Amino acid sequence: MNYLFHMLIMIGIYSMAAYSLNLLVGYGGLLSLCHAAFYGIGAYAYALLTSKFAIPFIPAMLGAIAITAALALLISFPALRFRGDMFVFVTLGFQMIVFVILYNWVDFTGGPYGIPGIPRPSFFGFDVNNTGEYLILVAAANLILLPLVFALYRSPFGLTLKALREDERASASLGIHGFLHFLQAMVLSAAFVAVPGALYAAYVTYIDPTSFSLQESIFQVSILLLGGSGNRKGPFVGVVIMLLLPEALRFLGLPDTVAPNVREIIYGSMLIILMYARPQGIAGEFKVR
Amino acid sequence: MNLLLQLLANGIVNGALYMMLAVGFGLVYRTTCIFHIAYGGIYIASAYFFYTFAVIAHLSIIASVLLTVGCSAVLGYLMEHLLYRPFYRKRASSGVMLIASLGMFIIIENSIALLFGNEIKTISRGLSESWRIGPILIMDIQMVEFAVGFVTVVFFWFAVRRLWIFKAIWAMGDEPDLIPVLGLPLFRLRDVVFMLSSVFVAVPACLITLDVGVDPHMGISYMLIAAVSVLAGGIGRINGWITGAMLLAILQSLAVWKFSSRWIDLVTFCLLVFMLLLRPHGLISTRSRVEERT
Repeated sequence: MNYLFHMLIMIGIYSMAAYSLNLLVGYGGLLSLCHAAFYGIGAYAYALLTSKFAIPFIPAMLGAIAITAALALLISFPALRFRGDMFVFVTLGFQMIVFVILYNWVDFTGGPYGIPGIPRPSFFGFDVNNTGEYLILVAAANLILLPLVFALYRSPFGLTLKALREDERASASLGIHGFLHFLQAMVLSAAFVAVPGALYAAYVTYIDPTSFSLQESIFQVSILLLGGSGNRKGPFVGVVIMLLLPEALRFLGLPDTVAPNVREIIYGSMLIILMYARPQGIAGEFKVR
Repeated sequence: MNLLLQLLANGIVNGALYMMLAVGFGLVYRTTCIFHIAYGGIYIASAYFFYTFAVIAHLSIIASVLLTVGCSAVLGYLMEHLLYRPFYRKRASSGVMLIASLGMFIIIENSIALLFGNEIKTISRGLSESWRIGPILIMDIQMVEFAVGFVTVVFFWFAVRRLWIFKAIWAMGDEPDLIPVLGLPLFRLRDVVFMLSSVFVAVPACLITLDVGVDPHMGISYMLIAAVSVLAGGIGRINGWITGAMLLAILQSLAVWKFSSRWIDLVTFCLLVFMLLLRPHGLISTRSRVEERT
């Protein structure tokens, strides 16, 4: 039962991450490779606020969101001077810079040793201790966050992003400021992903930089590329496939030494096949350009 | 001061290797507009070819290098035929190719990890000799790396200037659709590009394997080094790639001198970000007409 709860919690955390990235990748059409950096900044901010400064759950969560949004604003200004391939490299550069800082600033972030002993969330007299209660917390976070994100998708803001995705120059001729909207989309998606980051830190109670590396960014982008982006069902399909495939392989009886490699080979092949046959992913709307 | 000179010497030796990596990467990016992430995959594949020939098959080092270069060229040829050509025929966009290339990289990296295991593999060379030039100490393998790197790149530089085929290849980079109109074999030129680029990654892969060893997860960092060199130096010109690679290697060794070796990656990517911001077309950029700029 705990195993099932664990899977559902991970699906909950990753669905929030995927839907927030969807705002930028699926609606904005900007392939960002630094989403795991924002996810990690959220997790680290939450972990440091709760364990070093002993701030309770809800203020720490809000603090993590604010810190991530501020850093995202800082990164967006240079990154959004580029579109297309160059935007991918600049975000990749920021992903690596954030990772190196998390890994090497030993005094503040604990470096490779990470941050142990992150307290379990407790608020309004509720203590979240076992996996079942944690599942309820993640579900509640999903119920608060996802309607907000969906509202953004359907709002004039989301539609404007779609217009910019299709043709930035034509949108500019209609008086739409591309830079400003992309800036908002990037900061918003970073602010949203701070929530799953913080919840992840609180769930595993120990974080280290390897959970927020370039591989993680590639994993989160792959969720959208496989499942599809630019609508509401794509990211969910992606999350379910990417998280359940390893478990399916485990049930097939692959030994643990080869299972991770086989899984990665399957992801890689799926990426190539989908890019060839269906650039919009399994259930998506946005075709990668 | 002596430490600085020693680190600068190491930086220049690394620069010779980075130059080869950057030339192989830049060649593909300049002439086919493919961001060749699978380049990192070819790097690990070549390193493991070399390991197989030198350690498992007990061949001599020279023979192993030559065989590795041959095998990598075949791998590059296969990659063009099985991966990039179908996409090219579909007129796929650069983003699609980038992701397909990433998929290929993931496949190669994990296949090799499955076959050889995740641990680092080294090749024992016995005791190595070293030379002392003033205050600088240089190992024999570093001498070989330096010499091979410079000779290959200089040779290639002259080949690009002199040979007709490179003129055609560069023209392909500007306007691939016009190549068949001129009666040139477009796909054969692409074969040449991918095979040459694989040769350029195979040589440093062998040398680095001989020097420090190889593990299956090294590929991405060398691909990123090559990419940063090309983007920082300027995509358009071979001089830019070479300058970018040398600049990157020297900055990295200065970072070791000033801070510590843990901050090398920070220097690499700060160079990328600042270069793209301040000079988006690279350090040595070609002049282009306003309408050509996108």
